[in-house]
Amino acid sequence: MNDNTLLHRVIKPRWLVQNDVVSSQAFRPEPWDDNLMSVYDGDQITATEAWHHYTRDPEKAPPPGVLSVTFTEFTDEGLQVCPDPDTFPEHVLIDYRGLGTNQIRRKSVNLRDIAMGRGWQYRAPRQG
Amino acid sequence: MPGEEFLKPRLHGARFDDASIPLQVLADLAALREMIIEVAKWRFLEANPDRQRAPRGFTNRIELKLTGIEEGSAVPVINLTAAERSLNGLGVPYQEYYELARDDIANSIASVSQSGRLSENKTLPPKYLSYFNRIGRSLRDGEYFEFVVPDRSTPARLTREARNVLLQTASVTEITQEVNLRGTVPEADQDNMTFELQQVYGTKVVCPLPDLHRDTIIQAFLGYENHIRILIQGIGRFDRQDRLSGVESIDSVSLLEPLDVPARLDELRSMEDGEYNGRGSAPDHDGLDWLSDSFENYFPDDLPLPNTFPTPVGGLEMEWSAGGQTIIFRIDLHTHGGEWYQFDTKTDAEISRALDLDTREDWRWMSDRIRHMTIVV
Repeated sequence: MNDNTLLHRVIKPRWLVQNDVVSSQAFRPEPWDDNLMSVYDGDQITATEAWHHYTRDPEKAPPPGVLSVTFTEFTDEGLQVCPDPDTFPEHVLIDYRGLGTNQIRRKSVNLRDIAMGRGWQYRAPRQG
Repeated sequence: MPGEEFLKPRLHGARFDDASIPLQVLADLAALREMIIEVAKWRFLEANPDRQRAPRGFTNRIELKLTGIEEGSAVPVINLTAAERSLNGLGVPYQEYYELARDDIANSIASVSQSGRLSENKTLPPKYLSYFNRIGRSLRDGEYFEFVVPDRSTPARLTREARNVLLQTASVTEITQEVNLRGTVPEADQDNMTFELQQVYGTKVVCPLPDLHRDTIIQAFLGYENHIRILIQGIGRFDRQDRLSGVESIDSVSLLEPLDVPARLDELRSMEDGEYNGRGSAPDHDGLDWLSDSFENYFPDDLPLPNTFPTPVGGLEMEWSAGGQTIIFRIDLHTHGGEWYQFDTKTDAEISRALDLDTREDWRWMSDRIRHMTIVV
C-alpha cells in the first residue's frame, strides 16, 4: 500500500444512492463498527473483485457499486489507515475513533465528494 | 329569509383551522344534504304507512343552506329554509321529519364512534348508510366531523374508522376515499381513455384518463424509462380489506420533481430490516406517514429539495449541498426530533441544533436556514 493506493468502499445498502447521489453515510462507520470503517486494499483487489467478494454471501443484497478514496486522501482527513489481514487479506480499517459525531459527518462529506469526483469504480447492473 | 339554524357539524383538524373549509370538503356536505332528504322521506313513510311516496313538495319546498362558518376548528352553519316565500307563516314544510333524519344520522355515527359498532336500535336501513361512501371521504387521519346528538353528553364523531364501520354495516363492497397516489405510467390507452399507474410503493392501478390532464399523463408515459413520476389527487376505490382496487376520478395530476420527498419516502417503504449485513432497521411506516404529511404541510415549495436517505437505525437523513455549504439533517421518526448540522468549507462556520418537528417554529427555522444558504450561493 502506498500514498496513491485506492481503497475501495462497497456502497450499501442500495438505499444510500438516490438519483446517482451517494449519502455521506456511506463514508461513516456503521453504529455497530466501533468507529472503524471497512475498505478493501486496491493493491490487492480490484473494485469489481471487491464487489464480488462482498456479494459472495447470498444473505447480502447486491450493493449498487464501489467508490474509492486514496490512502493519502484518508490521511489528509486525519484518519489512520490500518491494514487488517486477520479478517481477510485485503481488509483495511479506517479509524474514526476519538472523533465527535459532527467531525465524523464532516469528514464523511469530504470523502464522499472526493470519491464521487473520481466516479464509480464499479457499478452493479441495475436490479429489477 | 335565512331560515332556522338546523345543523352545525364541527370539522376538526389542522386543515380546518381559522374557521376555513377546503372546497373539496363541501362535496361531503352536499352528500350529507342528500342523505338528510332521503332519510326524512323514509321517516315520513314510516309515520304514514298508508302513503306510497313522499308528498310533492317534500323535497323541493325546502333548502339546506350554508349560511356561515364559525370557529372551532371550523363549524359550518347550515340552515333549513322554506324554498318559497309564499309559504309565509307556515314555517318549513315537514320540518319534523328533517329533524328526525338529522338526529338519526347523528345517532348512527354516535353509536359507532362510542362503541365501535352500530347498535341495533340505532340502525338506519343499509341503503341510507351507504351515503357515507360520499360523506367523510375527504377525511384524513386525525380529522373528524362532529355532530351534536340530542340527549347525549358526548357528541358523534365521524372519523375514517367510524365511517368504515358504517359502510361495512351498509354492505358496501367498495369504499371510496380521497387519495394522493405517486408513481410512474407504464401504459396509457387512449382508445379506452385509461392508464396504469405503477405506484412507487404499492400495486399497479388502472385510472381514468381525463382530457384535462391528458398531456401531463402522456408526458409521464413517454418518460417512463427515465422514471418520470406523477402525483394524482382524486377519489380511490378500496375493497373491504382496505386494498386500493381502482381510481374513480382524478381531480389533479402533477409531474413530480426527481427529489420529491413524499415519493422518496414511499420508495423507502420497501426497505426491510437487516439490509446492513443482516443488521439495521428499516424506517417505520407510521413514521414515514408522519414525515410525508409534515413535509408537505410545512416545507415551502420554493426551496431546494434534499436527497433523502435511511439511517441504519430506522431514521432518516436529509442532505443539502450548495456553494461549499452542506446540511446534514437527521430525523428520528419515533420522537419526531431532528439533529441539524450545517457547515461551510470556505469559512469553517458550523451550526448545530436540535429541532422538534412537531412545532411549526422549528420547520420555519429550518426553512430560513435553507433559504439563507441558497441566497448566499
